[in-house]
Amino acid sequence: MRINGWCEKNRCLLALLREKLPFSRQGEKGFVLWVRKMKAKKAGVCALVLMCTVSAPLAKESIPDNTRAAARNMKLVGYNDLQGRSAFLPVIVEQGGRWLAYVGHQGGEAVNSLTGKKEGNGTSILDVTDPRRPKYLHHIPTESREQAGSGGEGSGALAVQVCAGKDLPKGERGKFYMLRSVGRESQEMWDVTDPANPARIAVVVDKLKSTHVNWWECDTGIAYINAGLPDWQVRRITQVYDLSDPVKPVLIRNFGLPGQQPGAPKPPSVRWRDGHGPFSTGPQGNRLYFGYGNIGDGAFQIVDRQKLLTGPPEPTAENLLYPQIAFMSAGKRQAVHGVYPLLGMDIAEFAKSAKGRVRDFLLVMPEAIESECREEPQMMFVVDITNETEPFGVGNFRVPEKLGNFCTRGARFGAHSANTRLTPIFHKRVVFVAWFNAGVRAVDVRNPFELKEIGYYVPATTRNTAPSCVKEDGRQHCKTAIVTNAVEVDDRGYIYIADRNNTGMHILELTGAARKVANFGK
Amino acid sequence: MKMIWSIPVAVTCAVLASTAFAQSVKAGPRAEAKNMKLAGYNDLQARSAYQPVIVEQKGRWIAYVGHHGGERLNPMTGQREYNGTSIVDVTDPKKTKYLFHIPGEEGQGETGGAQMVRICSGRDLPKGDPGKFYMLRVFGNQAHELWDVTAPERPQLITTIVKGLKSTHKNWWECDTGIAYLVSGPPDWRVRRMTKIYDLSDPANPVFIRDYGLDGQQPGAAGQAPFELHGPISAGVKRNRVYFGHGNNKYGILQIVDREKLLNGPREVTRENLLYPQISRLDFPINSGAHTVFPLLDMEIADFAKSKDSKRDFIFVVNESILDECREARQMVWIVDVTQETKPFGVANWTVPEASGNFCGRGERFGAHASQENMTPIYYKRLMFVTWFNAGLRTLDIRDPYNPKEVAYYIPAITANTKPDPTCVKRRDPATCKIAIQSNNVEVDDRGLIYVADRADTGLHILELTGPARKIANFK
Repeated sequence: MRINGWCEKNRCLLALLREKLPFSRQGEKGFVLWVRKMKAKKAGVCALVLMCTVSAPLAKESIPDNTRAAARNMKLVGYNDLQGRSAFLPVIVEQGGRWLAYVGHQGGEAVNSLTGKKEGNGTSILDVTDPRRPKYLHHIPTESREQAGSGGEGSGALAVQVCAGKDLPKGERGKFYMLRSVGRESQEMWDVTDPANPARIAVVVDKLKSTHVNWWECDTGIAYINAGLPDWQVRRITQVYDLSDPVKPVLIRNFGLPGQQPGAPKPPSVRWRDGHGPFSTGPQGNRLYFGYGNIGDGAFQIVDRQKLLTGPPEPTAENLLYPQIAFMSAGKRQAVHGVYPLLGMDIAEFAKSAKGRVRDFLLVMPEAIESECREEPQMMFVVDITNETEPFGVGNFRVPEKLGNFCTRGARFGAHSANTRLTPIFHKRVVFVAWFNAGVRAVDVRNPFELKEIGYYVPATTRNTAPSCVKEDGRQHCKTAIVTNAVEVDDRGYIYIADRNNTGMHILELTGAARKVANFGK
Repeated sequence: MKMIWSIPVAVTCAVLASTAFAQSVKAGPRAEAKNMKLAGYNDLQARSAYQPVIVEQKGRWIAYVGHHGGERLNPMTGQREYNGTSIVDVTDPKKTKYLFHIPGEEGQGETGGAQMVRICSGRDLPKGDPGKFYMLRVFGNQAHELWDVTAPERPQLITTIVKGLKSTHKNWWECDTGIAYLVSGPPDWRVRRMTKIYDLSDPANPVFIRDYGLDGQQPGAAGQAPFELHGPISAGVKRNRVYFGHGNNKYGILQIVDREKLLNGPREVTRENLLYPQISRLDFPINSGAHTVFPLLDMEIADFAKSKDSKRDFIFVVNESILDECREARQMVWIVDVTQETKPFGVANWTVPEASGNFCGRGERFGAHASQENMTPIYYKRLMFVTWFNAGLRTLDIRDPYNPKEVAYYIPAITANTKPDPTCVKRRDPATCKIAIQSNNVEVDDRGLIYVADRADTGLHILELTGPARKIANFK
């Protein structure tokens, strides 16, 4: 919005105004009262000041008000409370003329308003055809009731992927299939052709120790399932399945880092590098990008997809290395949660240089896991992978803490994950990154050497928002803040963010200058 | 001697020629500047200049400037002399005084001259004469020499440390210990440049310690040799680290070495012994070199104050542009986090935006080359000065190394001395070769003055910061 742009530019002026005005002696309360008074008057510049106050933090000392949304170049289109469930991954699919959002939940339980029953968090299915009025269609429960908010990794049914039968090589045309994780134990296949009445059609795998984000290639049916296997020496690895026929899962191989396989000696650095789910560029790109580790000592790996799928499957160190093109440690301070490839980027800045104009990059996202910054800062890195075998860090993106006093707002502050849908509206232009208590950040990636934030949206907390608690010197204190957990986009250009601490799902759109960076066509 | 008075930013320079030794210099196009101004100038006898080093010497401030190869008239002797070392009194930067030229090796560009120079005071060197000043310089590509420059207008050769080399380059000399890392090309190594380490604590009696390089560069090694050395920077006894930068506009490598193990480890040139002091090695993208590797250690990151562990170590890496008119990948600045030394990780980059001055169309080289190497508290961990050839000198605020920001720049005006790029002249009709400033190397002195040396014969510009950029520096 133009007003927000004005606010950004006039931040100093606003801070000055705030300090010089008579109510400043009455402190924050006086200021808020004055703001309310002005709101009533809706007068010229004062209204501008007011809107800025609401939407952007001002002076350094200001106490963040988590009950108000903050935004720049992004606005709220619609909202659903997801029954107050802790949410992880939203996936949005066009299905027979309707737009549906499938949201994977982390553990916990809540009353399903459609059935009136208390249900363990599972999968929410919503009709978002009209994003202003999302309609909650169905909740598929799980038995997993462990809470996510209180520090545990509640694994309700956090991973969800949807493919159309017309895309899957052996799928039934007209049908839609949903792959979801269930607790830490299993992966299920559902028929969601009628999203209000989903039906389970297969258990892909069960008796697992852990689950996490999956990747399912709709055009081939190959799925990379994040799984904890009893005999592997790490919490989570990747099970590669052929799900081209959704009711007849075929295991292709188990894959992890050398040293994680059954029977291997167990170096401590490998123990913590649990798989966090890959990003596949499919048969054409023939690459998989894997992120490892969520409590520091992260790493990422570039893998030859063809070699992974057709190479010798026995989990020996040699066979695990065979498809690997490169492996890079991000250092002991940095976790690697998500990865996002930006391939064949034509860099305008280098247009007149004879070499090095078109380059490949990987965005490497960590995961903040501690509340109130009781950890190293977790930022996003940009890695040049033009020369695939020698990845090289070239840049970073982070939300400056001081812009919103994010370390004192409560909950986690840091990057977590980016959108994974490569719609031409946003791909190679704008990447959205979930930044926990700093909401979602829209990043201009047209020049990966110089990432720029062009918009953000930090939702307001609601009555549903669960507090995040911290123990210090034996005493616990809790603060209630937004915890934007994951983000996805749809092919219409809407942006969906899901909250880990039960605030629900916000549907957003870009506005102002940020919208012009995207490619909405004519 | 010539003078340019300190002038307001972006105003045409007034060139005032004066003494009998000066040739006439026409004012070129305007200098371009932001938050920097010219404090003084010397034309260095129109010699192609590489490394400037500025030292306080008994109340005087003396600039020693190493030159690339070439031949020019020395008006003080009336002789044409091969480019060597210029010695200039810069006590009053407004009235620089050319004191002496020590001729160098015959040859053009990097094939002759005496491009590198370092100075140590005898009171710092463990076995130096406390009243003396010593200059370490290269003699072209053949040799490393030690000179007595106590009287800078009458330098005396003390000794030749080593000769019979194929190449030399950017040396490092620790004044407090006397240990010198001499970039050298012995005939039997597989690369043009490696390191010969000497104990020069007693400047008159150099003691050879060892030959050093990356594994694969040594005689008898197999496979593709890692690219040649550019130059090391030692963090000294306390930090016990030496950082080696390899490559120019390609094949960059940063090597982090344990100094103690380097100096006292087994010296025989074997793979094992070369690897013994190596802590880690970071290979750059193919199209990037590593000319200067300048450590920024124990940086407090203000924005991390509320997080765990706000202190970090970085290496500021500068590539070297070597081709004119952007006939290469952009050579720029990289910042590498080396807090965890065994896992260096690039975290930031910076380049001059080409469009900000249409630099690819200005002629000659456009790209990074070198940073200052003096760690004066005025600038250390606050501001980095980087020469950018035809984009002049660029000043970066690096207090947050994750987010370097340009706060000032100065692109000197060309003069009648400024020459076109030699490769352009060879490649096509010289009349079509545009002439541009070629800011080659930069150094700062302990007063906070900034010295920029020009590769295309434009001379030495002495600059100072102004405005908001000056406030970032720590002038007490």
